[in-house]
Amino acid sequence: MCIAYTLCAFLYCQPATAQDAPNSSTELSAAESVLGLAKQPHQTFLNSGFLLGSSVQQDAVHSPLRHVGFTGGTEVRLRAYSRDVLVDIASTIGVGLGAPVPAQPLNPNAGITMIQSNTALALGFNAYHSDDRTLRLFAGPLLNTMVHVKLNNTFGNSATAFDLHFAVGGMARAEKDFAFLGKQWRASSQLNLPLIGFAQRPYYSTNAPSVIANETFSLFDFQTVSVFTFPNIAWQTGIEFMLGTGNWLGLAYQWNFYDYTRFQRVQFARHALILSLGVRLE
Amino acid sequence: MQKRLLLTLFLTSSIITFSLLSSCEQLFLTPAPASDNASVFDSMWQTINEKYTFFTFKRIDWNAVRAKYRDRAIAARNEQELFSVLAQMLNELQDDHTNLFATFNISRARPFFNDSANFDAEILSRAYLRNQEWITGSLTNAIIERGGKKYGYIRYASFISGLDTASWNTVMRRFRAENVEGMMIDIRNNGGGAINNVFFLAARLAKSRTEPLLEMTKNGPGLNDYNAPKKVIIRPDTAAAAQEFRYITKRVAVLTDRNSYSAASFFPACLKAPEFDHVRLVGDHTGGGSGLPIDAQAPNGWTYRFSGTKTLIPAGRITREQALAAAPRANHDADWAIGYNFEWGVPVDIKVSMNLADRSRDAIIERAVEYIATGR
Repeated sequence: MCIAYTLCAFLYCQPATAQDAPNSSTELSAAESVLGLAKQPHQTFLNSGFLLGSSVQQDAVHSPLRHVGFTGGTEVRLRAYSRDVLVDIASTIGVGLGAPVPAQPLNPNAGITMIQSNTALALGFNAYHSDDRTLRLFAGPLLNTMVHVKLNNTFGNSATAFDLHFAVGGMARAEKDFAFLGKQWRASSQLNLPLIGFAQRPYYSTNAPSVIANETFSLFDFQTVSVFTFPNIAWQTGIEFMLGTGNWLGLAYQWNFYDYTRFQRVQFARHALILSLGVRLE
Repeated sequence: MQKRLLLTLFLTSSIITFSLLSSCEQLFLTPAPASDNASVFDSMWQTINEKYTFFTFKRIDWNAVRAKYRDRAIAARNEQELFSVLAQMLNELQDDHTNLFATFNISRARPFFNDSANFDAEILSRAYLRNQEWITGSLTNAIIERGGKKYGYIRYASFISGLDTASWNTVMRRFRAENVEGMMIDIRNNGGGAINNVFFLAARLAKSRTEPLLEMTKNGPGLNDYNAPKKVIIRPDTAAAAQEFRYITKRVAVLTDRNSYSAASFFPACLKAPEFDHVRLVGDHTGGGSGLPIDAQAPNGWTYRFSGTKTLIPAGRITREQALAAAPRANHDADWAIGYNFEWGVPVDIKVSMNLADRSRDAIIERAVEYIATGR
């Protein structure tokens, strides 16, 4: 929370400075901006980093209990701009360890291990930009895949549960380039919202029919889902510090939440901070 | 001015969104379950009610079980008492794949606990193996001589123990070198383990590709919500290099008893297929366990497991008389059109009872020798 509010405070203090002293060195013009799209409308960046955070899960397949724990992982993101179009491809892999909350003295070993992979391909069209193009809003379609595997170490045949989600939807992204403390920064916020697609939960008895029967591979029992039956929201907001070479250091906060019921309900939320390095590819 | 307004809107919405997400996330999540006695009991009862696979086969009225135990569970004064009541409820399923796990105890049901024992490791060791056995991986093996002829003997004590090709091939080479008349595979007192070991053995005894079993899995909470039966297929390795290690030309006796459970019943169940016509089950009916156990957790943290699938021997391979001999209390009509449910045992081909008072003789081994020698 503190980091996020500090980040917001940084953002907020800059415009006042710029307005009070429009010709000061802290004011950012499109011509001066390293990343200002008015100057270089075609740019591609490869951004990779580490995430660290917390997650909370309730999956009735494994347990009626709520599990809370730590999450660590990586994010790789390719972001390509043309003048009015943004292509954003992001892949996040997180590994978490969760313990029942409240603690379970009757079974202290009832923890779970979670592995989550999110891959999203988003196409954003410039919906709005300020005159100097330092503020840009994008919106467009999204293709999103999510694989979430959970392992309960105390279980036998049904130790593994999983959620699969493949969907199309929409994205919205806001970016603001600004100067602060004589440096150039970019603040951004992006929401990915899958709207309709397919989902798979563990087979009803948690043993797929193919466990011993090998004639028909019937593990998959995909169901059509929508944002109303399988809300899966990913929101990321952050700030990037320009290194002056076209590259940047970034700090972002990411929130991911989903909720789905196929016989048994699963709910998952993850909060994570992502520290990343962006490299300009051209 | 416009820039400042937009930035203000952006920051305000971000702060509001972040606050909502981090502070009010609890609103999205299902409340944590209560862990009082009634909640624990109801959670376990309901999960089993929706997922257990043998209510009809075992003629169990699960609602009556609830009525019998719920008040007792609520009245339990401590963890041990609650555990005891829940374990008794689970044991109404008469299913050895059913356990309740707590830090201080693990419950278990032994439906054939009172049946006569047909295995004695001491008799086997002193009267037959005599400390001369080979221990080849997880296969203890020996040569038993009767009437100037030799018979191969393999003791496989647990399907938990992994089987590997090198060990199997070593034993087969030994038996061939000794020119045995046939071989025994002793899986008495074998509580089961990994199913893939079943297929490892069966593939080396099958004369050709075989479809020995049908598996049915629940696909919904209703009593009769099952997927269509799926075939289990075993494909022997027909490569030339593997031929000498398949045992398909001489007779095989598989020794079983009521403690041959789970995987140690899956293996004999496979042998009822016509591709194993050189194999006979000798001893007592197996203990069964045709459902693969699945796991669950109660709101107080205890975990438990129970059968979540059922496996059948395809129709026509077990007669009604054999079925009733192995499982006289079962409702065989429940699945008879599809196959024989071996949850309460695979019928033995040659039934033999041991006299444990005779410390010099294992009647089941002796009868297996007779089968190999005579084919009867």
